[in-house]
Amino acid sequence: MRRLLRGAACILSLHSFGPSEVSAQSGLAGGDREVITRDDLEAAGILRVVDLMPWIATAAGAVEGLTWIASIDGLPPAHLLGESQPDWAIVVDGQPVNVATHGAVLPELIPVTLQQIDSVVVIRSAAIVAGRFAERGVVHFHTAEVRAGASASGSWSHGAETGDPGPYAFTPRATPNIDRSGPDRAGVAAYGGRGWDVEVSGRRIRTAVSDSILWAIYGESARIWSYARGASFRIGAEALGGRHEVLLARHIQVGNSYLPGLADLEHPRTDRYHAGLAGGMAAGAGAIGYRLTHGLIASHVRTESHQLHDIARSHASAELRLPIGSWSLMGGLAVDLASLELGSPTEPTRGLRRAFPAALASLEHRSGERSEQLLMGLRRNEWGVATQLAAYVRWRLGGDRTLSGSLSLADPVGDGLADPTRPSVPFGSRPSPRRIMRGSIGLEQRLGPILSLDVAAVAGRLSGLAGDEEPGSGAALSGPADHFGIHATLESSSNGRVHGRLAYRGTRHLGGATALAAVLETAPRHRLSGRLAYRLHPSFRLGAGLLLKSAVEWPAEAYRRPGAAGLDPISRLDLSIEKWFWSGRLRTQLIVANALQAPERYHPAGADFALRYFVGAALELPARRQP
Amino acid sequence: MTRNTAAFTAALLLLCLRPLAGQPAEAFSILDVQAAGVLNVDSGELGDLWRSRHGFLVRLATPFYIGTGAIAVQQTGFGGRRPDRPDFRMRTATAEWNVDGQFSRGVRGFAGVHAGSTGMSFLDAEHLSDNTEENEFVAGIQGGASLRLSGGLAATAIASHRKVFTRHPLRLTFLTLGLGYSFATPRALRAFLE
Repeated sequence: MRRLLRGAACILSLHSFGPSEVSAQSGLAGGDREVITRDDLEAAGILRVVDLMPWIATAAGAVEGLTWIASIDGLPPAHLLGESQPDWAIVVDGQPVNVATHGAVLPELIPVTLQQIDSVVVIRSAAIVAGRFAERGVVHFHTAEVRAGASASGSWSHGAETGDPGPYAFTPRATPNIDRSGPDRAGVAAYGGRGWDVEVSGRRIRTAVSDSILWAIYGESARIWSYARGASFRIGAEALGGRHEVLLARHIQVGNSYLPGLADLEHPRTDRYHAGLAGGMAAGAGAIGYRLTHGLIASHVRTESHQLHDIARSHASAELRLPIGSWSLMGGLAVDLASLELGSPTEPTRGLRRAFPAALASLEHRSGERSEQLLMGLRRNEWGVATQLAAYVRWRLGGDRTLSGSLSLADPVGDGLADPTRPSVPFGSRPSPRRIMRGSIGLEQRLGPILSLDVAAVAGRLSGLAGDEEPGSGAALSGPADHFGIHATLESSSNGRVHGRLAYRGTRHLGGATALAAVLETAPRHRLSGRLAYRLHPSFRLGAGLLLKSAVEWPAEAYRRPGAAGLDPISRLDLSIEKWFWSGRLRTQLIVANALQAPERYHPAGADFALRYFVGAALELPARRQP
Repeated sequence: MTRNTAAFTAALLLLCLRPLAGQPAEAFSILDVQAAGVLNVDSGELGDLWRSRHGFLVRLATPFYIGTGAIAVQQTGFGGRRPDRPDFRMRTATAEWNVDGQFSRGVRGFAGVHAGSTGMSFLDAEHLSDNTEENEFVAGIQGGASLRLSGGLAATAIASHRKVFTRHPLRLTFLTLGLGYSFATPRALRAFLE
């Protein structure tokens, strides 16, 4: 009975936590929906949440590897297009999570540890999730269900980047010392009772980046070291025909970290708080989902005068989903409250508060092997009302072929917090938000019992909503810029021994507004990513990850350096060996990242990441799986 | 590729091509503990600046799901050829994977790859540098043979070539001679390893 109740609650919670994330998968083509399971994370050698970024971001920049300005949908990061915040969403178990500041995201500050994550769903096109129309996709972290009774897990890892001087430090061939990363530690303890569960987690990581380019740019303080640490508490209960969950967390990142979009902005410390309640309940034949969250990022910014930037975002939303025959109707309301406070020892604190109400709706039809879906959103923002529309279709053509298509038109969410009194603070929205129009048509073909190939053609247009000008040059930014792309994904479903995925995204810019075309160059024209895991024995697994990206160029205004700068292509190969001991309770791992020792650099003003290696061990009681 | 690397790679390939004699042992069914003396026979450019000293190796090998696996800890010393080049100890911990086969009665050979970490401790070097301890990634290849003496006792010879991934890489070749003792893995330990 309890299992039945939990299953029903799970279905309801999927609806309530992300009604359209679940159904939108049916129309996503060309690998626009990627599910990364915990097995995939482990086999790929992901030791930290932030390690995911190079693999899921299509365009990305990071100075030190902790703070990323990134996008996941093939277009340039929103920050470079005129927005102040990434307009792809990060969601944890249906709760929107505020880990964005100054146009960048700090994924390591999400309110759960990597050990709690069961899967990560990456949607690279418009979706309604967690009470928000995420026009540029969503990264949804789903945590593992708490098991009945007491359980606990802990992990430890340590690593180092190669390139130390070694004995040559005592010779004329001496080079600077390269610091070590780690040790990282994390722990989770949980108890699952009858209809309720509770879980606490904590982690502490240490990152060190010592790089000659950074020293040249930032001086002595560029010996980047950063501690991210914190704890979270989660309690869930089943009631009213659904599951309800409270998540509380506090994480801080101490040390020198740099915002990649704003290379001269240094964060000695960032504090992050999250408090959230989310859940779902039955309502007649339908289901209600709701969430109430509050997130605060307090950044201590080292500029000319030490400053405090507090960015708080609160979110409340609820939706009702009603099944009517083969149709499913969802309607919901949401409101986001955002506030900014600036303070410094020499200036009075200034604040800014705004509310962004929104209405969301989806209409879905399923009939046999066909499904159609329409997503709609209206959201008040700082420019007026943003209109967001997306339509998806998925039709089985017979045999092993499936046709899918999508069409979307979305204005940016626009919940950036401009600070009009201090334009020199690189904070807040720049004018001329971009409307994004995109369409895709794809074909999925099964190639045997475990292989499938998904190919899609994508076309899109970026257009400015206001007639602004590029700062300094007077060049118009508001003209449209068009692009065309091919996405292809070859994926094997896991057969227990081998699991792999290879994804290609190619984009060609078809001209348009000069300034926009320059920004589009920050996204690689060609990107190939893949992962392969081979389980030689139930307790022994080999893993590999491959990332190939073509060269990109960043415009000067993207990182406040004179002149645009190019980045070399990236050819990264990661290797991992895992061995389980003690009937699956203890997992040990050796990881070599960038085994080819090829140039790996994500930002013009960022570090070069060399070959690096990590060893790790994770203990789980009782074992999650028996080898 | 250096001459040493080419030679070891050729040896590895030859051994891989040789059909394995008899049934391979079950994973973790046997433990082989080895202790050996280590001689650095080539240290490349490092040899112009430091003089290598003898060292020792402790190695634990066991049949793996394919081939054999081993973990090894090795310590070697290096003496500076000038007063401003401090002596240092190099401790290397590696995990190995080997293919093995029977060459003739009582003689088994193996060849494989290894990877791990090398720690370097610079002695009495505080006045020369703040950084007197370093760790670096190391990877390489090895090949060897063991001659069964009596019971579980065997004489072992291993040659290894490795690269330490410092900014200016260290390329080191070692010859190891020692004794090994094989015994059935205790049941509780085998259950843990599996």
